[in-house]
Amino acid sequence: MVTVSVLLLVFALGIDALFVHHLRSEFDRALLAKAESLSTLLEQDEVGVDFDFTAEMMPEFTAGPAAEYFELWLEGWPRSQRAAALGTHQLPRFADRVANPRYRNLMLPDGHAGRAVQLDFLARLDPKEHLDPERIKRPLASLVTARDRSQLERLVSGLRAGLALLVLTSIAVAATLVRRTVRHGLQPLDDIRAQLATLHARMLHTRLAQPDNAAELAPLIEQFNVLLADLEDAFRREQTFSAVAAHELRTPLAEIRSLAEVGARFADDRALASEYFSDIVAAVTQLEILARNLLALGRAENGLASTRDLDDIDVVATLEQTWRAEAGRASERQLSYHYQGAPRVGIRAERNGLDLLLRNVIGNAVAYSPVGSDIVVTCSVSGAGVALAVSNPRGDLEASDLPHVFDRFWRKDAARGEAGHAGLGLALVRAYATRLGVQSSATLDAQGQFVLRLEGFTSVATLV
Amino acid sequence: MRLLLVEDSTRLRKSLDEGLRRSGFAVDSVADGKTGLAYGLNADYDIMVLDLMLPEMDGLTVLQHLREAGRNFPVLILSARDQVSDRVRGLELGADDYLVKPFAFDELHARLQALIRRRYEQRNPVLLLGTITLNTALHSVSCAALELALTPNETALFELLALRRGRVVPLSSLADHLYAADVAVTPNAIEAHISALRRKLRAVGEPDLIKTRRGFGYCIE
Repeated sequence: MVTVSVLLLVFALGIDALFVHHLRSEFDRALLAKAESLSTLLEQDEVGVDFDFTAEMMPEFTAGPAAEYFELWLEGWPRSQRAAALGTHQLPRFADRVANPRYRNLMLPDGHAGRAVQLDFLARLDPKEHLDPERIKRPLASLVTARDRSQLERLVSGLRAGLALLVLTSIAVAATLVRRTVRHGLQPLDDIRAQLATLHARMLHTRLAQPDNAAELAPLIEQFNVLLADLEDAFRREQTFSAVAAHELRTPLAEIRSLAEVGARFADDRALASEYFSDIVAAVTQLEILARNLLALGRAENGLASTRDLDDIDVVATLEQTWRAEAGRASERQLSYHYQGAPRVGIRAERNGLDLLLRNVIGNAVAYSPVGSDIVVTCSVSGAGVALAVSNPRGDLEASDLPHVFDRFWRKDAARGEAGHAGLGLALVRAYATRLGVQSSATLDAQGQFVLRLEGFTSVATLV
Repeated sequence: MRLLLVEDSTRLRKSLDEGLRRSGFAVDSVADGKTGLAYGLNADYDIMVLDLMLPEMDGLTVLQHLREAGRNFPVLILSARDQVSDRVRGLELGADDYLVKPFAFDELHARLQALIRRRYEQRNPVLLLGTITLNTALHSVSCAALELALTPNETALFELLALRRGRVVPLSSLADHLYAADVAVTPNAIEAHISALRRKLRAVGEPDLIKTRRGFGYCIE
């Protein structure tokens, strides 16, 4: 807006300078023309100089409302010739001789502002007498012609006032237009601001609507809505995690407290007390496992394997060793282990981290495989990378469960019944895999198998 | 008082069932939401203790179905969820109280008593019936500072009639409120308890406290 105003002001000043200069030039030209016209009336003949001025021919030099003035000085003349309108007044003249017409502003005898031009010249020779200019000595004449310039000044003032009015009006119109345009242009943003102002933590399900006629803001709205969806999802996950963590921790505590208090209330019933003691031990054990897994998860998520502790390990032998550790539980559930791949596969990894990872992978498969099923581990080598795939029957897992299986405390059973585990197994697997720099993923294949993939182990060619 | 306990944690359910039974409640305890709803729809309980995270059907859905079916007995929610929003939602769906796990058994017992009194519009746990004083919090009956030696069944029967003072309680209703679903009870057994209770009241000078309305039931006026 300031720029527009400055431009308008510069434009007005330019117009003012151009027009005023033109008007004043025209005024001066007319004044000069009058002076030159008067100067032609001064003629030199054989006898002398004659100023052939008659008031009848040039009535403007007589006194009146728009009178014009002149005064003529000639070398040798005792006094000047002057217009009747001048009366006893004199017109000022430059003392030195001027080669070109010289202008000045002055106060006229009638009190009006005036402008005068001075011409210094030699009287012209009378053309009828054919005089020799070399022979005739002509006297120097000075002619000052003046006229009222108040009309010109009024015109200039009027022009300037008109320009000023035009500029101010233009600025006002421009300001209004700019304000309206800006307001109209910013309306969609204002709509978005109003929508954002209504959002709060309990309204993360809402999405921003695109304002009318604001297609250019669509990417912004879309991006913001994506952000809101992510925020809502994160908030929901956090709420779910809090609720589940509370359930997993509070339920065994409630069991222990209730068993202890009811047992104490009826302490004379020794059989009841004895039974409750056993139950309390079971609940405490459950809590202990939960605490141990949570601590392990915290440690795994917070630490990366040290590259100084890397060993070359036969992963096939480590898998078999891990399976043997789980053989008791697996036998109870009539599960069998099958390995597919090379008999020895060397990888470079931190030994303790790998042990923990495989223990959780196999342990998870043993815990969740249906009774009597097969657990198949496949090992494949591709270039410098080694991948493991552990598959077992999917049970009641659905494809929609896959995005959540690595979440902490996730269990298929939303009621979180007494399965003997808290849903930390695959969260631990992912944490240990990440710690080893290995990617973990889960899929359901066409044969109804749940497949856990661990990819990105570093292959070593030779094993000691 | 007959109580329905819906809790999926075996250890918690077992201890609560035992503790509440020994505190004078006739307890039906179930481990999942669907069974809990079926029990709640088929009997007029004095109160219900309901967990939220249940197999088959979650606790809030059970509560919603019960209220929609016109079951208005008090419901105390017992849950590990401790967020204000969880409590508000439970109470908005018709629960009467909300207790967060872990909890003190005594507090649960006191809250259940308070909810039952509120159900029968009896704010004071101590009821004066002639010369007899009944303390529903302590499950004690006394006369002039002398405590009557009542069995748990007689005490429960007396409480039931006292809380419904001025109303005739049918024999079938007495059986429903005094015994859990897994207990087979005959009208004769109830009448035997009434008879024993009257005998003990007569011994302290209140022979006519419990009236018989032939063909309808019993009442305390």
